[in-house]
Amino acid sequence: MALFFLITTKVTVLKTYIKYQSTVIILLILGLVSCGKFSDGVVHEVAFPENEPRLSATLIVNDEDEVIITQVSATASVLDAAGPQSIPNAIISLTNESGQTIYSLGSDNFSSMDSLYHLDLDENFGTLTGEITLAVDAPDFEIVTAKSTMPPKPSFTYTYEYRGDSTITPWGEGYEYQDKFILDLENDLTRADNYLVFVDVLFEDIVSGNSNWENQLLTYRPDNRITYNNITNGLLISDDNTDSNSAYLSEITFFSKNFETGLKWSPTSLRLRIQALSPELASYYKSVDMIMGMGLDIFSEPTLVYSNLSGGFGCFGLASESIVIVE
Amino acid sequence: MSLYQKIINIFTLIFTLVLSINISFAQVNFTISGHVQDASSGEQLLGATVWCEDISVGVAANIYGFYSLTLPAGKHVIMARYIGYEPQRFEVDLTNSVKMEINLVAGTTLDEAVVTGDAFNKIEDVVQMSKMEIPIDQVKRLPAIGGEVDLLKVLQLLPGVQSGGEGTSGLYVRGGSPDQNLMLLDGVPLYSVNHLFGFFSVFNADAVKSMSITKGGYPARFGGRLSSILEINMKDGHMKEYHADATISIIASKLTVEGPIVKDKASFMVSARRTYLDILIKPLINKANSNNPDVTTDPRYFFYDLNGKLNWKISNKDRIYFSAFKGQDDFGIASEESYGSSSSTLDFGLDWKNAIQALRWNHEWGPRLFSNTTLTHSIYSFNTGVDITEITQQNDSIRMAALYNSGINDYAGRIDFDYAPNSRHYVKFGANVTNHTFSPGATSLVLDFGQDVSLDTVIGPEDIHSNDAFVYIEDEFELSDRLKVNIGVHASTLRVQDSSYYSVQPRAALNFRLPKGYAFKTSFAKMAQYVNLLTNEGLGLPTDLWVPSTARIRPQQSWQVAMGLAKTFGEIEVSLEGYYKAMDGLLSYKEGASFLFSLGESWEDQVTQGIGNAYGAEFLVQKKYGSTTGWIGYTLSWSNRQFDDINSGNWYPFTYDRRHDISFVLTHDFSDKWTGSAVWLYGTGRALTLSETTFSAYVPNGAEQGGVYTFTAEVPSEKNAFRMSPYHRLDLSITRTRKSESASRHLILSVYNAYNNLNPFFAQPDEDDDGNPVIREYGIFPFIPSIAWRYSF
Repeated sequence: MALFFLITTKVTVLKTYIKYQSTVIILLILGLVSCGKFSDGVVHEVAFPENEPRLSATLIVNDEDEVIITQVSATASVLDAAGPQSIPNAIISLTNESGQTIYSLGSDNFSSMDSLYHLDLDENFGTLTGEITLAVDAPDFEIVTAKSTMPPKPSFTYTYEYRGDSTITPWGEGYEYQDKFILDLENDLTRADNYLVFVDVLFEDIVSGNSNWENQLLTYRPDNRITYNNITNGLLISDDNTDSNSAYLSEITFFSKNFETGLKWSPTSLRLRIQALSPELASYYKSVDMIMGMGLDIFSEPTLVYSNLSGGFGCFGLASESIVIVE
Repeated sequence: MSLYQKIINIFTLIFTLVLSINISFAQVNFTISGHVQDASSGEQLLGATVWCEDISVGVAANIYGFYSLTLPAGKHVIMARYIGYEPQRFEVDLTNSVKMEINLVAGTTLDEAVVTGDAFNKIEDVVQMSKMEIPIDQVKRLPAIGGEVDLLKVLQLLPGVQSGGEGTSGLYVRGGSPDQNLMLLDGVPLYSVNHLFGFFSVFNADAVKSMSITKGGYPARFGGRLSSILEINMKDGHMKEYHADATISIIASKLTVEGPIVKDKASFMVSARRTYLDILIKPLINKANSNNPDVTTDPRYFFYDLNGKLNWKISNKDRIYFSAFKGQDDFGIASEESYGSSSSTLDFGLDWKNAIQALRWNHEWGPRLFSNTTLTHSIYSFNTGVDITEITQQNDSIRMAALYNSGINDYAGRIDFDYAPNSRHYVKFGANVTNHTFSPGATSLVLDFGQDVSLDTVIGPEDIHSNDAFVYIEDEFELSDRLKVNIGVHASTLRVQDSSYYSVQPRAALNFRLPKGYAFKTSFAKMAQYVNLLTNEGLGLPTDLWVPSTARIRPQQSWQVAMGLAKTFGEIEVSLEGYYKAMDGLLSYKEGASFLFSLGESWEDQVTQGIGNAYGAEFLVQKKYGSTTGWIGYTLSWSNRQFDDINSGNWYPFTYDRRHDISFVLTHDFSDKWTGSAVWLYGTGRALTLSETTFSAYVPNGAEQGGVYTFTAEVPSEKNAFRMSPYHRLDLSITRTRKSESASRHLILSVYNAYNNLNPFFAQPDEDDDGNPVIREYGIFPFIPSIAWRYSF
């Protein structure tokens, strides 16, 4: 009985196949054809507008810097595989409010090694008052300018507690000790306050005797005033949410990794470095950090890096820095 | 004078006018009232018309099948009609007000009407504009992906209603967002209507009696959303016999059972649906796991929904309905690895669920006054998390778990009155109060490393409680033989976080009969919305977050004006409508912010509010009768947005701004056994933003002076300045029906995307073979054949 049923079923299936053979073949072809284009995608020709090269420049400096670094390039179409090209013969000038040129960089300062302009200063950049104007002039381009004002030196107090906190390691091996910082920063109610906070440790190479400061990874508990700025490896502290509480930036708690002493790689010194940022520089850091963080999200749409250059792209930003050696 | 007092004064004035209307007619008229219902099942026929032929006045039954028609004393010829039923003509001699239950018999014209602007009336007769209704029988005959019929995907074929992306169920009505659609299942709002990440909706067609969408000209009884009102009503349950309907498709199986609890007194309906991909692949997974006993992996995905309804006629004047719905999606993967005496387990899960209950009480206070009182409870929750447990060789246990959850819990009470003072007026008024509890995303962390080290904490925003309420009144009346109007007002308020919002929303619609049978219609509606959906505008992910208006987030508001022409040419109805809608308080993530970045942070800091507008024209030609039926819809539309924090504050096209949208729907009965259907649709490509140019930049890097990190920055175009390729697709379906005296069997073969067009789901920059940057589009649904089998008895 079962055999009869099996044979009958097979005959029925065969008959059905013969009856609809052409349909089945068409379905198979359609199915096979679909595989390639659905797995590889299809190129969509997009009519991009023609790129008219524009000037871009970035100059970021703080009052403690002993070198001014500037990048100048021409914009390129996104379809240009070579990308944006550096401009080695631009004239970059910084002038103060009275129109006096403070610093100037030219082709002599251009380094083909890193495609950047470098100007070594005799002493540090210094705290400048008033509005500073950046002007970049390059052949075949309109002059681009930007203005920024250096914020006052950060005013703050702090407490430091060696191994003041413990946390659970990401892989669950147990406790990990952290050094704890509590920071009181000034919140000037007349302006937007933005600070970038770093903790650096000084490592000494016991073979060469050379020493280097290195950034430490900082952590914090959820706090609306703090965001981690990956691109600079610092904590960005802002008073965005308040304009009426002068104590808003008090008692900011964060942590840095604690190094055991007595080990050969233990640091020889620890320092707290705080930069007060001009509003333009804070916006620039935030936008660059956000865009770099969106890289893996295929559903995110492109977002513009903050620019403050008239007629061009890039950022002119100033900062003032305070450094204390943590005892 | 306070706003509250103004509202009260307006309503007092309107009530006085309504009462005066009644008094002026009361002494010379009598009322015929009752229900219009299916003669065989007792199912209420909402929208059925009761028409007095000799004086040419009529009324449509409300959503509970109740009608009330007030006529002068004396003899009258009454005609009752409903789509797909034999008309019933009878004579009454009115010397008193009488109650009359009208039982209509399903006729041979069941398949004659396909899409109607109203269940019976000609499109040029009704005041309401911008409303569409599709019979469920018709929905079941259209092609469906995977053989699983989806109500919302059918709505996307109507002019003015667009889909979000390939295969998704999101509705974008007249330039609005998905959260601007009030989706009512038996009168209860549903928040998330998605199964399978948005590819199916939660509405099970076998459990549904009727479905309609209103895109504009909203009557005053509706409120709370800006763009559309979607009303879906579940079957009441057969009052006389037991019936069942079973469907098996390649995606899911469904079973619906209905019947009397007490014949002609009480009935029930239960419908269940579940996918079974997880069950089908279980043997394959077990086989794969058996190859390596030390490592087992158990992926899972399923969704189910349950619909139930009880219907009890307590007396001639009272009726109670209890409706319930529960639906859930569960996606996840569990794995376990063993290393000798130690082991490690990981469980990742993502699930979301809806549940609603509604208790409704119909009461007839008299022949002219009908009320419905509703108590509802609605829950929506979304959870995702990961739970890792390690057992060490020393038998120590280590556990780390993180669970993110969000949701809404609503309790509501509502009362609606229908009052028909005379044959020229039909008044509706009522009130509603809703208590919301929003949980806008919190993360629970559990870390347990034994007795000495443990952490159990919750990070995230606290629940937000709010109360909203509204009152409304509307009157549909005839000013003359040529002019009908519906005028009303809807007043609402929200109390949240010690803040209050008020909104008075006038509503008006007008139908003016032109020569040669044309009707000119126009409407105005102001709307307010107190809940918002934060979404990435891409997939209809359950990660989309429902949030309320708060002290910082103002409510969304809109006003819409529409006008159009309508006429029936023989068997073909033609309508043309134009509309303009202005919106305020629209909510969006700021540039770069999204669900992934909001863990542990305040969502209010990541959003921005702006304005928008939408305008366009919709053209619909539909053939309602005969063996060949269908419609052609065309929409020409624009939809724009402006946010101070997006696109440098400039206006930009909404992501789903779609200039042209065409749909062609055809159903043909070849014979009693064979029915075929075809759907072709075309839409302008979705808007997207692309980078146009690049430049070089740097940031200082490292603790030593002079360290820099250089990078190439991209300059995007104006937001949404580019378009993906146009969307077009052909779906085909053929159904073979075999009927016997007691049962019918349907075999449904369908093909989705018959000519295998790659419709882009997303696009991303890429490189061609020569290394040149290009834009590459990816689709997800190729040509998909499917089969379903349905058995009814």
